[in-house]
Parts: sequence; structure tokens; C-alpha cells
Amino acid sequence: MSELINNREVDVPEQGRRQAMLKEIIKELHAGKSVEEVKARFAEAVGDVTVEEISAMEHSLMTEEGIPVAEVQRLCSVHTAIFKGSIEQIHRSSKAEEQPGHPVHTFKQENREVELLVNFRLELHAGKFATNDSEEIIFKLLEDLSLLLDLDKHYSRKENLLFPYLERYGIYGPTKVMWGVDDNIRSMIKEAKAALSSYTGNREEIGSMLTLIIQEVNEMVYKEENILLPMALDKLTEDEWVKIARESDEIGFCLTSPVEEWIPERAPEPEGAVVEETEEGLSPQGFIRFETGLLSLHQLETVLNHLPVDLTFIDENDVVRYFSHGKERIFARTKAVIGRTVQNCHPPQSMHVVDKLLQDFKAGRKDAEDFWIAMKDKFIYIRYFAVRDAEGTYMGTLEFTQNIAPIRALEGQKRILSE
Amino acid sequence: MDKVLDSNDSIFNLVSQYPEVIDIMVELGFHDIAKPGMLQTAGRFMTLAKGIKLKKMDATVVKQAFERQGFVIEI
Repeated sequence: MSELINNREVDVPEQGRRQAMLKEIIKELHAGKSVEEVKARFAEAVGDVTVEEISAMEHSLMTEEGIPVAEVQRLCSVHTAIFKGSIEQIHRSSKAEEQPGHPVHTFKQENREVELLVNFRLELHAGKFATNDSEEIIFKLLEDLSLLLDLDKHYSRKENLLFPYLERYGIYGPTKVMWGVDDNIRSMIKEAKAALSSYTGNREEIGSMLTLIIQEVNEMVYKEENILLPMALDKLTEDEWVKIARESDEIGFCLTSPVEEWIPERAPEPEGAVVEETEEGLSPQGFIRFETGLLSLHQLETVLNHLPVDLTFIDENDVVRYFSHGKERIFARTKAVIGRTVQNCHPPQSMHVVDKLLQDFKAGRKDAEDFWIAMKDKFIYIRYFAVRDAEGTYMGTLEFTQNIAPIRALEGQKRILSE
Repeated sequence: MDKVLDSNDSIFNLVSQYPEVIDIMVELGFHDIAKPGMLQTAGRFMTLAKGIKLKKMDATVVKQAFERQGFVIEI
């Protein structure tokens, strides 16, 4: 309906008259007239109506006529029957964050799933476990905890997509504290899983771990919805939410995923507007002259993304400047980290390691440092290099991450092409 | 004259009115509120009532702590 009407063409007095008429009709409904009766009058009197008008009317019913919110909601289905639209459509225009696909909507949707998992399944199984530590119950608990580990994606989106924007508005403290708690919850779930998979009869200990997990997960839901998300809604612009929504896929979703892409109600972006502003006037079609050759920006970018390693470069001020984007990044990076200092891109727990390393690089005490971690079927080799110019001045640090499991598995030799 | 606090008002408002509120809160166990940036951000959305619920505190204990410092508070 709404797309057929250009709202701006309706002059204001006309809109006011329609509003009044709509209100009259709704009031008649509330007074007990049948839907059929009113429907006819409605069609005759008003004709087409926009979603905005219905929202405005619902709003004025609540504020001016004193009809309780709950009552208006209860009658929504009746309104819907009359106005032929879907409830989603009616409520769509009210608030952006209540629309499917909006990052806040997605976060909340995930929280509902998490609550179901934690407060029903996990709670139930933990309760049974207190009196019965059979293999079957242990298996159920392991299953619940594995599902709950999906929270990692919810938390990662918060930390890597939402926090950077909040930091742009000068909000650091709460995000750091929350990140610390997120990490705590992640490790508690992992610990409980480990304890259950090698169960040694320590029933009470595991029982209290589970209780703590349930409590902490619930508290985090509360904090997100009562503090973090309202705060973010207060600060972030619609454009920023759109960016967050677009980059969310990169990290993934927890237990559920948005059913549709969120399209804000506004003028569509002009063609080509997606092209980011380029630095120093260098056009995306430009060429880069190296000492040893000439590449177009497109060639260079494609080449870097074909390297079987993940690259991230931070400048001399610890600001993330670039990351390569190969097919399978080992550690998720989103565009939101660009321009953010590295201290805000690492979990607080590992920050001291990063700080120490950067200090050593800057002071010239070290030029490189390697770490390696076994992670599932991957063996991850993470190398850091201090990048210095010809005079030895520190220009930044290059992180070079590679899955070397296939390389470590090589044996013998290979000298002919495989078929 | 008694200093009256509304537990449904934001912590930011309460503290701007009576700075000593923050010390009482920390003493009660609301440690996060003293961390940098917290008051100006989360504090604007958080109320004392929500905090008590979140931390599962005993409302009477909180009430008494404030009363000792000369506050009247409705929870």
C-alpha cells in the first residue's frame, strides 16, 4: 500500500482529516462494532492508507485517547484485517531497530534463542544432572554447551562491529568491561565442556559451573538490552547501522539468523555511492609504481587476497590500516577495525602480550616474533614483523597468519604434476 | 533536609546531583560504575533499581547503606 502512495503529495489538512476519520473508525471497533461493519465504512471513507498513517493513529490513540498500549496491541490483528497489510508491515515504520535485519533486532532475536537454550534446556539438564550423572545426561549437557558456544558469534559481532562505532563516539570503558565479561563467559563454557568430557565424578563442581554460566549469560542479555543497545541506538547513525548489518555475515550469527536484509526506509543510495572515498585523491582505477614494477590497484588487491596467508598491517600509531581478505580468513576481520587502534581490537586478556611486543618493536629490541597455536584441524602460525624503512625508522607492524597444517604434513618429495 | 533519591532515575542524574552516591555504590559492590567512561555512558541508561535487580542485591541492604549517608531512597 505505502509504496503506491507518495505521502508528500497528500496535503496536510487532508492528512489530518484522514487521521481523524481513522481514529473514529478504530474507536468504533473498540466500542464493539464488527470488523465487517467498519471495513465497509473504512473503504468508502478513506480508500488507501499508508503504514505511517496507521502508526500515527495508533500512537495518538495511546497518547491522546488514553487507550492502553496493551489494548492497542491486542487490537492490532483487527487493524490488520481492516487495513489488509501484515502486522510486520504496519509496525515496520515505527522504529528502525524493530525491523527484521536491523542489527539491534538481530541481537535481540539471538538473545531470545539464547534464553530458551539456557533457561529451559540447560537449566533442565543441569537440574537432572544434580541427581543423576548418567552418560545420557552428560551427553545432553555437552550438546547444550556446544550449542551455547555459538554465543561466540554474537559476542564477536558486538566486539568487532558495534564497539568500534561506539569508540568513535568516545565510549571505551563500558565496551572494554563488557568484552572482558564476554571472554569470561566463553572460557567458562569451554571449561565446563572440558570438565564434562572427562567426567571424574566431580558433580558438585560442574553443577556450580553450570549455575554460574546460566547466571552470567542471562546477565549479559540484560546488560545488552538495557544498557548497550539503547546506548548504541542513541549514538549511531542509520548509515552506521547499515554498515554493521552488511558486515554481520562475515562473522555469522548465533542460533538464528536474520530472515531478511534490512532496508532502511529512505531514499536509495545513488549508483556507485558504495565506492569508498579514496585517500589522497588516488582513484580506484589508479596504478601504483613500485621500485620493481607497476600494478593497478585492482591487480595489487587481488594478488594480496590470493596469498595463502592473512595479512594485517598497523601503522606506527598502532592504528589498523589494512587487512587482506583471502577466501578463508583464520581470524575474522571486519572493515570496522580499519582506523581503530590495535589495543581495541584484541581481547583485554591478551592485550599485555600485544603491548609488550609493540614496545619491543618500537624500541628496536626485536624485529619479529612468532606464535603458533593448534586449533581443531588447523595449525596456525602467527608471525609479527616490525616494518622499518631504509633508515630503520619504525613504520608499523605486519601480522602474517597462516594455516601450516598442510605444510607440516608434507613428506617425501613431489616432482611431477598431479593428474 | 533529607536528600531524596529516585531509584528509577539514571545513575548519571543521581551522581550529578549528589557525587557521593558513586562512593556508596562502589562500597555496595557496583564496581563497574567507577570505571572510566561508565558514568557518562552506561550510567545514563542504568538506574539504581535495574542495578539492584541485575546484581541480585538485597534492596533493604542497599536502602540502609544509603540511609546511613543521609539519603532517603524508594526502591
